[in-house]
Amino acid sequence: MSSNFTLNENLLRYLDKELDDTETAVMEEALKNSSVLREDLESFQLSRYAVTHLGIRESVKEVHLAYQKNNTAQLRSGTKKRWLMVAAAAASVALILFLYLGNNDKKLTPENLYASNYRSFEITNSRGTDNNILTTLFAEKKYTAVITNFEKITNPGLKEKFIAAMGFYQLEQAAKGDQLLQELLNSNQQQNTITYKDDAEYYLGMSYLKQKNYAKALQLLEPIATNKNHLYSDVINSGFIKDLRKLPQ
Amino acid sequence: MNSERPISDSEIVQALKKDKKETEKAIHALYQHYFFLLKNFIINNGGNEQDAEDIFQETVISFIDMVRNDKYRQEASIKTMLFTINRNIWYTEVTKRKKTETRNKMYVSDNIVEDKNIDTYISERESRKELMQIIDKLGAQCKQILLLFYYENLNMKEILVHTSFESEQVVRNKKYKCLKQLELLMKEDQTLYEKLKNILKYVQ
Repeated sequence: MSSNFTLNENLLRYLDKELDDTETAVMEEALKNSSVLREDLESFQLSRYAVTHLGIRESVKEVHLAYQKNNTAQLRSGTKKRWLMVAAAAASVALILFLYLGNNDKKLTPENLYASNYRSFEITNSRGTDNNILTTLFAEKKYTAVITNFEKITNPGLKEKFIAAMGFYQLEQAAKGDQLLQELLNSNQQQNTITYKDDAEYYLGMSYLKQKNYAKALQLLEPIATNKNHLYSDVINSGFIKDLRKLPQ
Repeated sequence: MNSERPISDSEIVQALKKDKKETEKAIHALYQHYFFLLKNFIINNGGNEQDAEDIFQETVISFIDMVRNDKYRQEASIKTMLFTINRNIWYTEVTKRKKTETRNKMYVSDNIVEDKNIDTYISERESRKELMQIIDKLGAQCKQILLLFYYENLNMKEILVHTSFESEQVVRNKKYKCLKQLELLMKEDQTLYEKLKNILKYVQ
């Protein structure tokens, strides 16, 4: 341990990862044997946390002010000339949109409506700390193993059912996926809970769309479009519902 | 981060773990993507514009803290996490203001993810506020050095450029003294200090 520093200074260097391997080992041994040193380490940790937390607060405040300023500036900059330009631009957009929609109607198929509004379900478990085997297997895209393991669970919970359903969809076994999601929605309704409720409504609705069962798809997806707090309200909006209704029933 | 295309959840998480510049880009993306959604939730649940802004700031701060302490595992989307944190902080606030009617109504109308980390984090919110009041008593120079080192991740040589100290060793000594000063400030009130230590349960 460098004699140029006091024990307390070295403790801080240890926390800041500035010690070499030998010094680190010595410090760790000292920490094992001294409760005073451990308490000192704890207070350094708390101080360091306080500083980074302060930094985060200041950054958020800074961005918040800039965001507000930008929004206010945008609101105030509306001159008559600008409005005319906006009106002209809006008219052009409306014309383009009209032409596009007119053309798009011809291209409207369940397949492309599904594809352009389907948000794939992904698990990115970067830490690998989730002990749920299904989550791990799904993150590794081992869908058959997800199902095999799911079927071994005697009394699966809602999370397991949801992940297994996603696995069935990946394996193109829609009926089994649909059944699990329906069970999940029923359980939530019975127990007045919302575990994976939004996700289940979306994926089950999209599955019905893919299977061209438009009535069932509408039943599940239409409420999403009218609920701004729904997790999928950004993809399932009124435009989507309008298109879904246009599909040949 | 590339500003030409939408930023993915993973990119935001990565950026939030980097330096100040990248963190602020990610915070900006969070504002652009989620501010209006979360603001609407607060307004629809008995809050006003100012409440919505304050709660969103707290939500973002909490989320960054969770990301930096590896408590966000990306099982739920950022949108879901923010929504849950926002709702829980607002719930705590409403409880404090005793708006029971709003609180009950809120339970029925929202969507959340179950996460023990969020509950633990929010339960220590008051302690963090007190911690910020303490750090505020630290001198401006101390705050600057500590922020440059621990938040902006600059080394001693780089800190020298931002300050008027004559050598890296002087900066190093000053940094140590500043941390000791902060420690003394925290320990002025032992009862409070014991409470503050609970925050560490959350910190790696």
